[in-house]
Amino acid sequence: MKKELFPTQEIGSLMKPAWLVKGLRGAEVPEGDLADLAKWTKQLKLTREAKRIEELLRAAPGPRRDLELRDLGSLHQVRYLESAGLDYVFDGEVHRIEMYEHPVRNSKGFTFYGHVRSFDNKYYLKAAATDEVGFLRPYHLEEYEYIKGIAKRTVKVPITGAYTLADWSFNEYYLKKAGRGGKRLSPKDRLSEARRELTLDIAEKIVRPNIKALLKDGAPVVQIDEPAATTKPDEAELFAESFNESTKGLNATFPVHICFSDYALLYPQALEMKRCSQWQWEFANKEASGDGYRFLDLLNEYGDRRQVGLGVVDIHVDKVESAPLVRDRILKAAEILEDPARMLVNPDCGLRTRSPEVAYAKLENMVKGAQMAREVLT
Amino acid sequence: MTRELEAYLSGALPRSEALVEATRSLDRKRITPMECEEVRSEDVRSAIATQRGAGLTLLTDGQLNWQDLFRPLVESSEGLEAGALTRWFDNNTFYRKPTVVGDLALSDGLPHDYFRTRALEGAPWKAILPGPYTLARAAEEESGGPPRGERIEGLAGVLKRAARWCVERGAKQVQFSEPWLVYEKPSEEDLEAAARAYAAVAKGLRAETVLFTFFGNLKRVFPAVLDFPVDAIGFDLTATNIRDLKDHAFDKGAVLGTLDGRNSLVESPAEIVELARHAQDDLDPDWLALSPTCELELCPRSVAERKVAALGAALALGRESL
Repeated sequence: MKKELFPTQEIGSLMKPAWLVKGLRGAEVPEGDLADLAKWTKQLKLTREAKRIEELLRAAPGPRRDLELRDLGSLHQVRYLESAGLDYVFDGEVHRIEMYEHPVRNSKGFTFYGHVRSFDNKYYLKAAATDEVGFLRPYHLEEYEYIKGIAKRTVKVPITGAYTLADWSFNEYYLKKAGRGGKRLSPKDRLSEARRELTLDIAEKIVRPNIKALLKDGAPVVQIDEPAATTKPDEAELFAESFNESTKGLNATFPVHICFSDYALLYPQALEMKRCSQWQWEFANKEASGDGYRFLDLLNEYGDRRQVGLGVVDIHVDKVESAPLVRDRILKAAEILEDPARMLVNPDCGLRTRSPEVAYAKLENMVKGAQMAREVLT
Repeated sequence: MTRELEAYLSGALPRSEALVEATRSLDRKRITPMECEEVRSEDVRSAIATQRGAGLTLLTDGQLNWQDLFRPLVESSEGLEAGALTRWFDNNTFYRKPTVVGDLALSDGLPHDYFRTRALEGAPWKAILPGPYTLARAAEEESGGPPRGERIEGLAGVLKRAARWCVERGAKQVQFSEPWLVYEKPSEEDLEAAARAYAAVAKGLRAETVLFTFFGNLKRVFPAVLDFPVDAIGFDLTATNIRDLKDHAFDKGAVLGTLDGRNSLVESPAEIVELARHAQDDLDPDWLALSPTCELELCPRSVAERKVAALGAALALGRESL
């Protein structure tokens, strides 16, 4: 890839195609979904694969059929991102259940008890660390192997960070342990000690070996996702420590994605995250109210010279940002950062909640906007 | 302390796996609202039976259709709407921001749907409502709006009607849930506005009143909160150390949040009673009650049921030994 200003990247999950979701569930795939399959595979030049997908959708579910169907879904999403013109791609996380359950189910020490409500009638499965947590298998390796074989652009593999995995889990084993050893702790202090132990154990025993396996297999970029990073306002130190523990001894640097947060809470502790090469924060959804890029001032204030993966399209609204708007956002940020070479361009977060049509239009304009910004500055 | 130890819930119970499935199916239009309601009614019966079986001294209906702490009020008040999804403090759970869109009024009381008073008939029960300060903070917009004090006052009027509605239908206790009061330290001005709101909401209410704090350290409003016109103060012992409260006369009841509503490890009755003993010795409140730290809804139902059983066992043990 030619080294130029404002490389573009995806940031997380995409909406899974309806034919894939229904096909994997063994449900009948209605005409409308098959028409979508035909439309997109034509646009993505995957008509040969479309025939195979249709065959598989007619076949009875089973491990081999499901795996092939999922792989073809992955190919579809990789080509989708490439066709939109991105420089860094993945497959929209087609292979994963989602960002929490997948790593936890594929690690040691966790037990699922049932559903917890997220909001309204939406629920998620939440696990408890009921034993010492540990590495079970490199849970992102198989998908990476597949994607690296098909991708025509640089592959960036997202992995959920230790702090988020710990924050989203119940903690039994470490809480029991914190009560031992003759120390008389109040419930508050005991909880705090147990939380730290769990987070750092996940970092060392689960996240680090998984990153290591990906790097060993040649993954050019591993992005650490930490949506929970600022959830507990007084834990910036633990967050930074868990990142350092997750990446200790690894000969690489890592972009870190955090979204919908007050990033000021991360400072100054985040300055200690030496192997973090790039912040991928959301900005566009705040920019609608005119001050989306104020968080960039933080970097200047603290002398933080890392790269910035600039969120330029809002993932929560269907309105597609125009290419000139994307250009203006990039140029505005470049002015604040005083160094356009530090910038990459991406959506605020994964586009999972937008339809394939809307997500594609947003990505296309993002790529065009980046090109327009390049033309202004070169 | 002459009054016997008590124990009850301090927030919503989680929905059963059957109700989780039913509400999902309802959203996907695979079942009718009536079919979902049948599952919910069964779940209400089961939630009440679980509390009764554990021997809790006041029961709730489990709040099994509350989409968040504010929704019943929002849906039954003029001038309020459910707005943007917002993180519920430092949890991976979200509520819809109560948004003030006009003059506030609670015209027709609260929908029976939200307080299953018929299912609770014959049992002593408690009502749980958002506290005026928390409701006002939750309703704030980044872009401004009226001063906080004014907003607290306006919403207190709605809450007063809601609390009376519950008491008229037999609630023995009204709990005002106030996480915001302790999550961040309120300014002197805010604290005074909150005290005035309680004077409006709780005074003259013919039921016991509890100001229940959670997700933060009670120390942030202590001892000022002791002057609020309520019968008891509740606090979350995963966020508050009892030793930080001991230098002031606790001349109210104390509701001790002793079972962590945010963790699945089930506390032993002995350790719960040990905390109660500690509170009794260090604080010497007028009376004591045991409860979870917050809504058990942040755990799956199977865990919550084990916690309710532990709460009941701690009550029995505490009554023997305290």
